[in-house]
Amino acid sequence: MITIQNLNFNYNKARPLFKNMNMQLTEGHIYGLLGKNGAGKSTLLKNIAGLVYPSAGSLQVLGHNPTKREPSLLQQISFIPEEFHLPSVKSSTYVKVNAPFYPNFDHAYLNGLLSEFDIPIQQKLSEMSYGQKKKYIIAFGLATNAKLIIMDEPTNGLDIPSKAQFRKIMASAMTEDRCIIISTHQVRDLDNLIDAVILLDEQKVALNASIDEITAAFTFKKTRELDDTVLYAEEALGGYQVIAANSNLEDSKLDMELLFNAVLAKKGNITSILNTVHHE
Amino acid sequence: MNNTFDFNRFFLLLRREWINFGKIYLISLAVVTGVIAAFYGYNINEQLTYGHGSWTATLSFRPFIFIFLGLLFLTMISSGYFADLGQKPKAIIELLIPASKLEKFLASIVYTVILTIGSYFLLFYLIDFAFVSYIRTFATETMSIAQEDGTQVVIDNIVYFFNQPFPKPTKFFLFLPFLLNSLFLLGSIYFRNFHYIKTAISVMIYVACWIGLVVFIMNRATSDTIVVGIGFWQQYEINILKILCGTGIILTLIFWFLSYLRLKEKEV
Repeated sequence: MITIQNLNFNYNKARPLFKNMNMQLTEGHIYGLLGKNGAGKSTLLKNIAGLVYPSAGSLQVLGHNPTKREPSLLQQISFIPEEFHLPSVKSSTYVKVNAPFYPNFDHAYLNGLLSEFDIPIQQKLSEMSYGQKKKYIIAFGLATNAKLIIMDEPTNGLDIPSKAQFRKIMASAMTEDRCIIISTHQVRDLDNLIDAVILLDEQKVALNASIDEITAAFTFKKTRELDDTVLYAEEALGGYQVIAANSNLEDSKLDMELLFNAVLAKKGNITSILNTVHHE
Repeated sequence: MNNTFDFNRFFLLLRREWINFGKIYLISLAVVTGVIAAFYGYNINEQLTYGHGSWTATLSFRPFIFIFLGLLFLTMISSGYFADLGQKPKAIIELLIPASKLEKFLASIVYTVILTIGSYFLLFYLIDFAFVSYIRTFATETMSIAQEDGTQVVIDNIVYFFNQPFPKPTKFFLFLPFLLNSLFLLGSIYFRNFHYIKTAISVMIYVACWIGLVVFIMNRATSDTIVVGIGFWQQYEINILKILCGTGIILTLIFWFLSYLRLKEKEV
């Protein structure tokens, strides 16, 4: 669905943000896009949506060059930005003027989502709270039935019940022909939701693997003492949270925060082990 | 699917853009209506109260208010049309609306040229019609002129604005609103904020530079020479107004094209 080859991008020529980045994203997955502040998560999403232009390299989204912003591609992209503006109109007007641009727009689905999110649709959109606006734009984005859903920090501003609702709705919104990319620095919000992780670091993709691949290669556990199998450890109450090579094929739950810190701290070790296991 | 232009999508876009554009446009139109009506009201009231001069003199403010208020209205509307693209929260949604760049640009022309100029003319016509018709209910101001064949022609001086004869060179300046539209439309895409002020200052600097350059060249070229023949304004066949008009039309098309390119290349 998305092919990125030798992507170079910079806001400032002295400090490139991406250098020869390569990546392939396929449909049927929910990708979690992680990275430190300033690693370029939002910029990568903007590159995919054609909102910024790379300085070199190629990017193909659903067979289109996104920088051309062709309507046939745009109607298959739903971008939920971190900062957004909703006009001073009621939901009915907003839907009336925007929905016809999306040929697969599902009005019944939108109404279902709005009621599930408990959004006061009689109120003008601009008068809603930030969280309500966020839920509204997420609901509208999903109702477009676009093949590519891009979300930049979608859980920012959502209260605790709404975050749970968000995870539930996103999981149910996943279909075989859809690709969802969620960028966040609140990794806990993506627990049990994403099935692949993309981690950006030092102008490149430091990790792009499915949860299954990661948990097959590593085991995430809590231990009292460190041994030779431990690849990365963080002190925790009464012991250590560790990532260890999964030589015994144990089942464990991915600790995304630990993985994130491990990839950044070990600079390539984790990724190379993962690649070795993947190729075996 | 036609990715360049589709009528259905274009009309959908026009309907959608009205949500953003309509409110600002209608408020501006209401202000313009108030200003025009206030000028008419004040001048007519002065004449009715003090009775100095003629009704012709009373209504002499009309060309100035028509031109200056019209250009101000047009430039302000044009300057605000793409202003949202300078704000990241709005720009992302606007740029990702599934319509082509050509459709988005043409929608701007429909609203800032056709609707704005058309509605201004209609508004001015209606206000003028109302006030002048009111004056004509109680005042007449005519004069008779004897023609060469001896017949008398009666001229009514309390005349509707659009019924009076305009000076001959007027037609050479009809490009001006379009040129200003193209400049301010480009400014609304080019600048991220303070679009009107920045565009106005840029235009003034450019115009000042060009005038300075022309004056300098002409001074050098005509030093130690004397004027022979009539002024260029009277040389009707090859007069400078035609060149000015032609240049204005070409510049308008260039600035519209640049606006389109800028819209095409706009990044968030």
